[in-house]
Order: sequence, then C-alpha cells, then structure tokens
Amino acid sequence: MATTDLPNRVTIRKVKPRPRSLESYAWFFMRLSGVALLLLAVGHMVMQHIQNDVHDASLQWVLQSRWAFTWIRVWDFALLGLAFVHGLNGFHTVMVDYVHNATVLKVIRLLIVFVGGVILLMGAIAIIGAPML
Amino acid sequence: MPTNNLGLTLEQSIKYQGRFGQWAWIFHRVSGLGVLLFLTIHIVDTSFVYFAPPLYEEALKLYKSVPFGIGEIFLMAAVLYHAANGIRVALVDFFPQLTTKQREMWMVVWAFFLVTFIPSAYIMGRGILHSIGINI
Repeated sequence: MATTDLPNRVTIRKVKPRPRSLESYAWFFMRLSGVALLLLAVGHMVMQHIQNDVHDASLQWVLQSRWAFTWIRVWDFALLGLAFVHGLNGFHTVMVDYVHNATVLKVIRLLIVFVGGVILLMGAIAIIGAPML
Repeated sequence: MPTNNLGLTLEQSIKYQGRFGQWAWIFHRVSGLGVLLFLTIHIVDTSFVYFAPPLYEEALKLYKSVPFGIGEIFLMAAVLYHAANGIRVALVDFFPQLTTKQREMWMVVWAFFLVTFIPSAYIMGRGILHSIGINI
C-alpha cells in the first residue's frame, strides 16, 4: 500500500437516500399486522373453537352472545381489516414470484384490489350494520 | 431455460437442499394461502348475518358438517404455525444478531406449535365426535 501525502479530506456522500418504496411499506405492514394478528387471529380461534364450539353456533348466538358486545365488533373489525389485507398482500407476493407475464400480473393485481375490496366492504358493512341486540 | 410453472416450482422446492429454513418458507406459504382461502369464504358467509340471515343458517349447517370440522382442525394448525413462524421471521428481520440462533428459533416455533395445537385438535376433534353422537 502506497502512502499518499494528500491532506485528509472529508468525503461527502452525494447520493440521496432513495425514498421509501411502496413495497417497503408493505414489508413493514406485514410485520406489524402479523404481531397484531397473533392476538387477534389466534384469540379469535381460541374464542370460537376452544371456549365455544362451532356446533352450538346460530344466527341468534352471533347476535346475542357476540355482536351484542361492542368490543367484539371492534375486535372483529380490526381482525377483518388486518387479516384480509395481510392475506391479500401475501397472495400478491406469491403471484409476483410465479407469474412472469406482465399483463397477467396486472390483471391479478386489479382482481386483488377490486374483488378483495368488495369482500372487505361486505364484511365491514355486516359488522357495523348488523342489528344491535 | 425451463419456463416457470407450478410443477417445476414444486419439484425444485423438494429437491433444493435448503434444510429447515426452506421448509419453514414452504410451510409459511402453504399455510398462508390456506388461511386466506378460508378467510375469504368466512368473510362472505359472515356477511350473510346482515345481508341474508336465512342463508347464514344454511352456511352454518355446512360449518357443522364433519368434513368442514376436520378442515377447521387443519385451519387451526395453519394459523398456529403461520403465527409462530411469522413472529420468528419478524424477530430475525428486526434483530439481525438472532441469525446465529436460527436453529434454536426453529425449535421454539415447533415447540409452540405442538403445545398449542395438540390440545386444540383434541378439543375440536371431541366436538366433531360429539356432533355425530360419540361422546368421549
């Protein structure tokens, strides 16, 4: 290694950090929602399958023993939004891995947004709109 | 160059010698897609509570059938595995020093899975048997 007699200079980093991409937000959302779903989704499974039995469920039971409580509607609403968006984004990740035709991928993306959006809206309307007993 | 297709993906997924990290990844994908499939059906049928109450009772009949009950035990397995492995992935992402503890974390995932799944499967299985008149 040759030594130089150049004076010490401060190297100035001129590269601007790139703005965060949509994908990096999606990555962060998957981790955050995942941690929340550990409580919301696993808790939902415990309430519905361990504490209660699906074989005892009925329309009456849902309205009287579940949706009569505001906190359960809030829980279900958070679970609906976080779990479904987490799932759809995961599905999108899998599609990006395996679908290499740009047009097909575009169609799949549109379907995820619109079909997913309609189903999400149906669930949200039901949780908010079902009669309060 | 072979074209990418599902058959090739499945073949290479089995052949690739990625050891436990590879299996963690495959199980995470399969369980995630399975839960999404169930969730999509479940949101639509639950929305019948508001949109079509008589149809909701019909959907519940399906839920109470034996094949669907067995499917729900698989759903429980998928949710528990996906939760445990997902937390492992997030921990390694946010605390890179944990990459030296991958094997131990993989063991913790399975310990959590077995401890939570076995009693759940027992309780759910008992419920299915009870519904067809077998009481244990």
